[in-house]
Amino acid sequence: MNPRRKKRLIAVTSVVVLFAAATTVMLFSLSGSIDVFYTPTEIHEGKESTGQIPTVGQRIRIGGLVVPGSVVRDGSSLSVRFDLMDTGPKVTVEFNGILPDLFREGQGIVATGVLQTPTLVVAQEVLAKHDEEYMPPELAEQLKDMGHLKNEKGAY
Amino acid sequence: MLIQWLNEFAKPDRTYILCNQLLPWFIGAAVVALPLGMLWGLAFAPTDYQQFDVYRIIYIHVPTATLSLTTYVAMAVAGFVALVWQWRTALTAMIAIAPVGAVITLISLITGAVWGKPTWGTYWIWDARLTTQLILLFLYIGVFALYLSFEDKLQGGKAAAILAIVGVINVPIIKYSVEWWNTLHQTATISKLDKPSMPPEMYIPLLLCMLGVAAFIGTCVLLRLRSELVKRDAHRPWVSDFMKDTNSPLRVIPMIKLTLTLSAVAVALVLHSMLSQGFKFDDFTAFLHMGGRGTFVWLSFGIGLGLMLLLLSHSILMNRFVKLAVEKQQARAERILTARKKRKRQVQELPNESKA
Repeated sequence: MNPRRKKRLIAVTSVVVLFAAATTVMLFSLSGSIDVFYTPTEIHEGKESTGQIPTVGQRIRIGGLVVPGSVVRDGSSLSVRFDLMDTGPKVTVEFNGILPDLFREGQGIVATGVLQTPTLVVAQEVLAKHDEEYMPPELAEQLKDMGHLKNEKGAY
Repeated sequence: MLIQWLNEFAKPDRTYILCNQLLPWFIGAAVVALPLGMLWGLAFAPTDYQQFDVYRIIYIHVPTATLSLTTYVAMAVAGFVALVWQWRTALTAMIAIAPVGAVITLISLITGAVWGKPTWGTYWIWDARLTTQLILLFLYIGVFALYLSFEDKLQGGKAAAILAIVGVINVPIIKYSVEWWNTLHQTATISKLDKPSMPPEMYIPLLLCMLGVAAFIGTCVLLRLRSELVKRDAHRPWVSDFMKDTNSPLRVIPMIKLTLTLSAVAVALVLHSMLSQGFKFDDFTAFLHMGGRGTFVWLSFGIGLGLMLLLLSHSILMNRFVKLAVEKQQARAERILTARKKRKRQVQELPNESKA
């Protein structure tokens, strides 16, 4: 390889490497804030990496699975109250509005709202999260019978 | 050996011929795979147990989203070659790829938003996956705009190449964003290492759509690369040689006999397995209705295919305009040449007349 070409190669490669390094450092230091939501465990115990616990009154997003049997609907309005959990403790969410199609017990959801007490979020928006599994209803039915449906084991 | 073979393509005329040789294959693959894959996905693939028919947006969203990353890497590699080896053909290729990649990324973003509304409950959320994909769109636009903004196209190309190369860092971030951070977007359905989280009846049409979109991207890039090469080299002898020769690659429409035969076989094979799955809707109205989610499905396919059609027609028109411009320029050069000869003759004849 001729020397001028080599020089250019080194220059271009080092620019890329430096940029990659800078981006990595930046993303690492931002890692807490890039997460779109807190999990219920993180609300109780703080983020794994930083130990940061959201304070009461803070606007947060929370993501977790709707605890089966915890959904309480108000008969006269759109108000709904349900518990979210991931692997540990639960957090209660109150919401007054239209829930997305995919909202159901056991479904992963992301709610945006204000932390009223350390374990209660009053949400303005509830979004459903779905997993990457796609299958025909018949197959899902069969898997359910066999107890193999991933969604029930807490993937969200 | 390989290096020598590759070095050939630093010459614009060799690259031009390569484009012509490759085009029929890409056109053939796109014509077969794209309509069949989408039809299969929309009408013959089974519905999903959770999302029902709205999941069919996957057949345009996932191919465009995945390939927008692949296309970016291709563009960055072209930029890298252009900077280090100083190949102008590689620079031209980079400039041909940028607008195509931008349109494909835009389609992935729009179809994703239209899919997000009914399933997630929102068109947009600033999570890591969506935000980085938006940055990808800006990178594509930035590369192209940077190139255009320079008066000196070689300088502009170099600046754009640096941006393209640096921006490649965004690609792994997009790919792994759903694993590194909590995002609303789910993780990948298809990965090369694991079994897809989808049964084959859904998976095969998705692969077909991937192939179709990839071939479509290739077609547009090759068409644009041809035009850019001719535009840039309009005054160079290879262009005028190609224009004069009636059998030249510039004139001859790509030979597609072989690809047509192969396409027919492919179509038959695909049709067979598609039809054996059976139409998944009761009637045509139910098909249009898509279980109440017709608006979202047809909106995303309409916008996606519409943008693709616009891109394709622009790439074809660009070819035509460039050719016309070159013809005009050469006709002008010829007129100037004959006029000059004529004047010379007159000047020579004048003294003779006066003598007589």
